[in-house]
Amino acid sequence: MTTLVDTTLRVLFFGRAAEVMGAARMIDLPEAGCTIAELRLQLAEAAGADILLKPGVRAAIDRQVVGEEAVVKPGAEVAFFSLFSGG
Amino acid sequence: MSVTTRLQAEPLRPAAELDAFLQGRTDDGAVVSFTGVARRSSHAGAEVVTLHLEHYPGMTERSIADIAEAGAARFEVSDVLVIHRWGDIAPGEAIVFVAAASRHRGEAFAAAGYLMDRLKTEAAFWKREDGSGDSRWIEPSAVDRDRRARWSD
Repeated sequence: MTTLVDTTLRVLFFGRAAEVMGAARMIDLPEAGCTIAELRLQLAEAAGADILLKPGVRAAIDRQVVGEEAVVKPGAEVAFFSLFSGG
Repeated sequence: MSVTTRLQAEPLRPAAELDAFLQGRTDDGAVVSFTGVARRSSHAGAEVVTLHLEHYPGMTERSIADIAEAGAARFEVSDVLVIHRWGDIAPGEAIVFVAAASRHRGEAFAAAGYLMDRLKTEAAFWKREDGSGDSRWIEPSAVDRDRRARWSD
């Protein structure tokens, strides 16, 4: 029996990044997941835009800011955003 | 002690919020409040028709609550209130309202200043000034960062 694993990932964008990438995208991930750094490259290629590769664009997994080596698993919610403007 | 934070799209009514915050307060000798208001012109002098505040549901509320809780723990205050708006804000409308109550004024002034200095640099918002023909994303200014740095341990 095979177990079906949902390998889709919901990626959100905020601030300047959302203007280029749109508010959200769904992408397919390897079952084992991938790092934030790998995900940036994949998204940049899919969108044909380099905004996510620019310095200062941070990432969060399930609403916690994370570094480049953090591993994203299917089912997580990932967000990319430029620096906070503050309130 | 209570720490209350709210994130809302609806217009903010500072006078009503302050009035409610003052109700039944008999042990505190000081309440300091601050209202941040949307300006009609940018730092560079460009016209601002609308200030657009984008937020990330869940993360933005958490960032505001973390700051409010840190302020309440750092100063001798009895209650802290932070209300922040998101969405499109017109010049003259309130963006943020902060109030701190304490037995004496020194701690209330300090707490309100601390809360605002951290909110201005660390709250999870993305702000865009929309003019009549153009738009600009904005980041904390050097002054904002300097003011935040005063509170570094």
